[in-house]
Amino acid sequence: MSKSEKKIVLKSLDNEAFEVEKAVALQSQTIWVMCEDKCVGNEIPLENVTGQILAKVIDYCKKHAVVDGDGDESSEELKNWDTEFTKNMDQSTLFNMILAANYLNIKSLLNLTCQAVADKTKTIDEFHTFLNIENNFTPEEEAQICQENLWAFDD
Amino acid sequence: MDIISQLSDDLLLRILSCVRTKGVAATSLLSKRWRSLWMLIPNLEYDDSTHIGDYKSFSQFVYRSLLSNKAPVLESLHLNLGADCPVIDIGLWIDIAVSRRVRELEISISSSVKGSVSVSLPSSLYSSETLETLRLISCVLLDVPVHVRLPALKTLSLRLVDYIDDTALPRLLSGCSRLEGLLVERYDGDTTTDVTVVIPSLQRLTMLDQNSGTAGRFVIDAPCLKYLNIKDCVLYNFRQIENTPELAEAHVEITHGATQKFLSALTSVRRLSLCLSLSEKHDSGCSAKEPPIGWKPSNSVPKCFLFSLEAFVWIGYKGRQGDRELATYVLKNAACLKTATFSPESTNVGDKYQMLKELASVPTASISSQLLFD
Repeated sequence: MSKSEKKIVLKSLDNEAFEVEKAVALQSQTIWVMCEDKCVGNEIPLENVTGQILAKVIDYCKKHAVVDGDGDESSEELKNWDTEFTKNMDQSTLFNMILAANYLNIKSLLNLTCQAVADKTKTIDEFHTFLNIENNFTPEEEAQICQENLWAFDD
Repeated sequence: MDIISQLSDDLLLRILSCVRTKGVAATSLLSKRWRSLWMLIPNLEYDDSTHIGDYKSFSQFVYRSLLSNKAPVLESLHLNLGADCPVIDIGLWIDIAVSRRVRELEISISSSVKGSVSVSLPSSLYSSETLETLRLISCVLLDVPVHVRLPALKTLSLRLVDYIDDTALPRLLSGCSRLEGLLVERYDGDTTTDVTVVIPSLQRLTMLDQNSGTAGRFVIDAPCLKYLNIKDCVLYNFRQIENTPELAEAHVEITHGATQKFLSALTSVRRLSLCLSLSEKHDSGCSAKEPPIGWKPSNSVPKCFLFSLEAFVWIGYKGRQGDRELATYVLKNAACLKTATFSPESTNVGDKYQMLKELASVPTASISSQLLFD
């Protein structure tokens, strides 16, 4: 494999270009399929991901590519890195990361970001505020659901 | 703009899968879209330790949510229960999950202070067509029926469970024709005396046993084994491991009865950690004198020394005559060695200096080897 074949260019929705190692990018099943099909050149347009989010996704893939390649180089360390990675992301970044991980089909990143949202929404009030969901039940309907699932609301 | 409305039900379910079932049910109150979403969740987890008040409301909730679950595939059911949970409920919940063709079951029943009786599980569990992972923890009694058929089971974990007799474990294993990973952790009051693991498909095996008494037979026959972890201090009358040509990694910590014959089954490993006493006889009681290290150089240098050994670590190096001889042998013969690490037991600076001086003076077979001492 020549040097140029080892690199790949990912282009975001807002036309930001990222040159990355192929091994890093191929953690995305979507990109892997695109490369297999040879339907794209060395530059891959990703129409659903902004540059800001793509940069974070690439950070994640770089970290995981290195560690996966090197046997069991402290999975503990990788876990800590993952926790730090999502710790300070705000709601909108997290959801965009979920959408990006889903679109790019990177299973471990999808699991990580979904878990991060779940961790930030432990109570029903947190769900309402963090997920920004409007309650569209009538008081009667709400009382009925409460009655049905009494145990789930007792604290 | 409500960003969550961009997420498909599929993605919302993924997020919900990371939330405990209790919290998931509470999401039915969020909005109309969420009202029945939680019933599609493929992973169910119930924990009665987070429940306050009437036990009946807990069991009612479990029944309701289990029976109303409409996930196309029920991936997993985790039950984390205290000793107060009625046996009949546990049995029915497992029955429901098995009939929903569950793929992963984890049942943990914690013991009460009173020394509670272990819980038998329904026989439907032992003939599930779909179960891939089964984890049983603590107060569970394995009274395995005569006929066991778990054709999809790949991972089995038995932690601190009770066995009805010596034949329960082998009988269970005999019905798992595709088992790849097995973990057995026995507690110190376990009265069964045999451990017989005969599984042609097994790749990963972990056996932990803190029981310090004597026991009968210990036999492992798993020709496809790739990973092995044994940690026990049981004095078995008979200990045997059949040849494992594919074994790549082994961690062996055996206090009594790790004979040379037993260890010779580990010849193909690429990573090996050993912590054992090689004496074949077991001296009861404490002796103040350390037994001399039982080591003799073999007639020919082992192949792994000549062609593959790259890292050597000695924890608790004492620097006695026998230790020095063995260390010297390794350094002199391991031709591919990259690092040799010695962690001395002594904290005395003078002793450590003396040991380091001795080791550093040994001419090494490998040019690039590095001696580490800490």
